[in-house]
Amino acid sequence: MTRSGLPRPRRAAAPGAASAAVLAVWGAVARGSGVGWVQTVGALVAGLLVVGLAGPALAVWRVRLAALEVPPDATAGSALAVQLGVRGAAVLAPRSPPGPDVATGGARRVILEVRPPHRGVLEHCTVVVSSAAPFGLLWWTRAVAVALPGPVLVAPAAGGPDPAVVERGADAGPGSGPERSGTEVRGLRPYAPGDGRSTVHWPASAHAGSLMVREHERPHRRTAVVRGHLPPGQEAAEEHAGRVLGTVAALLASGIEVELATVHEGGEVVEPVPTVRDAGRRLARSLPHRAFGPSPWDGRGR
Amino acid sequence: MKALLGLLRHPGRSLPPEHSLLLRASAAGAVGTGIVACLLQGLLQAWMAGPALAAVAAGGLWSYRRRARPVPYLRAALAGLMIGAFTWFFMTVAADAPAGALTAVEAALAALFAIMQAVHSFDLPTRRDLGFSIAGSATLIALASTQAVSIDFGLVVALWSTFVVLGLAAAWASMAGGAPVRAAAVVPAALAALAVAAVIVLVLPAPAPPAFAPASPASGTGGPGGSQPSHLVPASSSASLQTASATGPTGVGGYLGFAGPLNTALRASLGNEVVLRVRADRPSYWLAETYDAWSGQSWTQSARALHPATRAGTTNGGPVTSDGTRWETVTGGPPLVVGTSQPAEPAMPTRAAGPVGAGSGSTAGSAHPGAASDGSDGSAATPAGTGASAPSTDYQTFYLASSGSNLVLHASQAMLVWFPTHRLYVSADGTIESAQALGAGSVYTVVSSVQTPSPATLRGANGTQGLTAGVRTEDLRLPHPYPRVAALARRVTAGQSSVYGAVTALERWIGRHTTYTTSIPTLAAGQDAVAQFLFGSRRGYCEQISTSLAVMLRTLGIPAREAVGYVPGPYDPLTGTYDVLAKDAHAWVQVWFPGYGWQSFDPTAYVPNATPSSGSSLQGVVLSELSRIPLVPTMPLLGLLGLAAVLVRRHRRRPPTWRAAVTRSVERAARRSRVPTGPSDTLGTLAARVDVATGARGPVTAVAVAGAAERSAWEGWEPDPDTARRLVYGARRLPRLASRARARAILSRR
Repeated sequence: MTRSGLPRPRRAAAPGAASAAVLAVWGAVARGSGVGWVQTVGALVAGLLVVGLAGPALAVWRVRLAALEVPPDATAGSALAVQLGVRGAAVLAPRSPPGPDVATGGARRVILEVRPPHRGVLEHCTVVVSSAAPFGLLWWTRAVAVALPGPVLVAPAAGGPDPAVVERGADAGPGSGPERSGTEVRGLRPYAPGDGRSTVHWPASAHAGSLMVREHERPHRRTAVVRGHLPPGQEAAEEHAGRVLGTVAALLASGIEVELATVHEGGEVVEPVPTVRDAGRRLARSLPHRAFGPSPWDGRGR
Repeated sequence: MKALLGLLRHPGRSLPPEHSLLLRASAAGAVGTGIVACLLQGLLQAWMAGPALAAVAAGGLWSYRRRARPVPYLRAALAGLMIGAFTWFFMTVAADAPAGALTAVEAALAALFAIMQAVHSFDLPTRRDLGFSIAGSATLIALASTQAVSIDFGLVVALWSTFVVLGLAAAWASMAGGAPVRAAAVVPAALAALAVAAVIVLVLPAPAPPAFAPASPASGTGGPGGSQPSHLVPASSSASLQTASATGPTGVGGYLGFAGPLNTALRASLGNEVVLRVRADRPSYWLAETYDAWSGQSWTQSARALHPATRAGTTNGGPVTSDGTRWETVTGGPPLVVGTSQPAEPAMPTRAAGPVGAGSGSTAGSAHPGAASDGSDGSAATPAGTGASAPSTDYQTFYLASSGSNLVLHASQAMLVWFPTHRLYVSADGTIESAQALGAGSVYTVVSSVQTPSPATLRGANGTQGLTAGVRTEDLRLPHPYPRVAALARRVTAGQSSVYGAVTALERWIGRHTTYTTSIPTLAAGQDAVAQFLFGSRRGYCEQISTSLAVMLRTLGIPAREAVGYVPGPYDPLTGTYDVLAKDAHAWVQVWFPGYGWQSFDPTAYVPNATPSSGSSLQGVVLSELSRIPLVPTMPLLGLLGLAAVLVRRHRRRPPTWRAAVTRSVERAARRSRVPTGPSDTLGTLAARVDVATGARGPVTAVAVAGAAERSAWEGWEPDPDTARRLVYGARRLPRLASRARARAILSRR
């Protein structure tokens, strides 16, 4: 659901004072000259100023935003493209998450490039809509919270691997030994058509008098459990989550299965994370939550 | 030093260049309109306005081409030119304009602003610079509007407003990332600005017309016993608006009274065109000339002796009123003296305060032109203790809108005239004539002296003292004894002991027993106009009515004469002037009061309209009121309102969905193709017939769009927005194709 605040003028003092001065001078000339045309033209100028100064409030109120498309995942500190449907010309300034301003230029669809500053679940995007329509004399702004089509799970930015967060299988942790090959020899058997030439075990063949080939089996995979419990405190939790994600990424890269232990509202969850993306999603949802703010109704204009 | 050179080379180029051509064209248009407005109002000479316009156009083009590549030292050079322009301005003002002479400053100011705009137009790289140009154009328009006296100036204002609105809208579109300027957004904004302006004009005190005359210090209830002059007609009791557009056989467009003798036997046809505009301290009857010799059908002037007016060796720069307002100087020289500063017959009657009616002989709401006294043939002194107020000075500037006679109009007793020619002639009766006829566009200023005696004082002024014997003889002369008129006059004025009482009694009698109409037959040869009016039809207009009063007064031995001129005309708050129409030509009576000179009386104001049918009366009133609506601001406003209504109607009636839009277009195309339709037709069958009738080919045919609509309706298929838009646009072509096919079919049949 899209919610919005009230339109507010931005830096209205200078245009307001200039307009008042112009009208005062014009009024003095009209009064002094006593000519109706001066008053008429002055009234026209006043009309243009009034519409130009107050009209943007209506224009910015009439701007409609809707999020059309957004990727399901994002990473803290990295760009996230949010496609918005827009009705009305305006300048859009993403506030939460922040991002560069975008002038709609009359387009019906624009791409907002926002950068979530931290992990979490992003469900709406707060955009400050600015307009000076119809005459460009004064900017009015309005904060709009645009509901995203689906939640965006913002993973923490991956930090360096931290062995301390690996609870079990530490020996299989990164840097604990040389890489093992993908298979091990279980035994020998006679050659069968189709066996590869490289599988022939020449000493055994010489011993048996017939071709013997090696029989392989897959190695037994080891599993590491990574403790993803985040400490209290937003900054500490953010930093820790980054280290956890970095560790998981390193373990997965080493071919070690990882079970990630995280704390959620329903309690502790220990489940395997087959990919880094899954780990990021788990960490995005884990406690402590951190909301994306500020809210559009916090009373601050741009 | 290096930093200074760097600053001069490229001072403050931080803003991005502006690419909007519409904004640039609008800014140039607004500035150009301002310069043209000043040229039209005489604030700029053609030799200055022309190059300024060319510079604005060339500078705009130059600025556009170099908007992203600033020219080194350009701003420094332009600043030098600006400083030079300012220096010229201050030197000009200091040399030419006396202290407080704003009229002398205005032209120099307009030239300065035009130069500034021309120079500035070469340095318009950014949106902010263009905004300054648009704002600067307002100063030119403001200057021009101070001089505007015509409703036609509305065209200039409308054009300038259009440029400004377009420029501002283009500026916003550029700020919003290059959004297109849509009429659907600009027109409502412009209408809103116009509505705000209208409210401001309605709410703020407009430059209201002054009261018809300053109120008398001794106000009263009127009537014989009151202290207010009884010859003044309050607005509520006045006759209704009376048109003076006579329809007669002559078809003369101008008033015959200004063409030498005033022949009451002829019938003129006076139009609604503005003949002159008057900017004056107060409305008045603008006196052209007086007649003293009555022949039974015509008024003439007996033995008019003209003497040239002399130049006053005094002031330059135009007269200054008591409140400091400086009036327009018509010529550079000193004014022509056409009267004495202290009139020989200074006292003037109090005139009625209230609205001034328009139309010749059509003084709705007021009765009296006030006073006119010539200072040449009387010598009576103002009696002490009469209650007459001190004379005041009245300024009028006349702007001739069409060619007129050589008569110099004025209010009351003219004293000084600023006139475009070097010579004026003043006759003994106070009529002022130029040596040559005045063409359209002529402007002159008259200073008059006004004094307002009370009715009580006028009642005490009887006799012919102050009149020379010759004048007295002429102003009492009758072509024949008029025994019947004399008997009637004596009967009506029985019991009146004063001249004033006699005049007012006769006015009221005329008001009760005659009716006003311009549809009267011409006089036969030898027929007396007064006898025909008083004892015949008793129908006539200002000439018959005023002549009858003058003749009745003369039969009583009261000196009276005929005066012709114009009623003030409707006040135009836009221009601050009284717009005098051709039909505002009027005739009234002047009566001699010892010590107070010639006092004007307008008996026509008492005369009710001849009773027309209710329908024609209503029609006349409606047409008369409609004719007073100024076309220039009204028509564009109505046009804008109509456009807004059309846009709103289209917006409300637009189909809610793409399917409805497509269906409507197919049905419209079917109607235009005249294809047979039946109640069981589906959209698809209808579309097939339309395609056959129009010969439509290509990807977007009626069948194609109708098929999409039916798929959407029955199969739940929904196109993406782009496809839906293409379908709607394609369907919109169908009615046009149908019309063309139909036209081709008709032409081929022939």
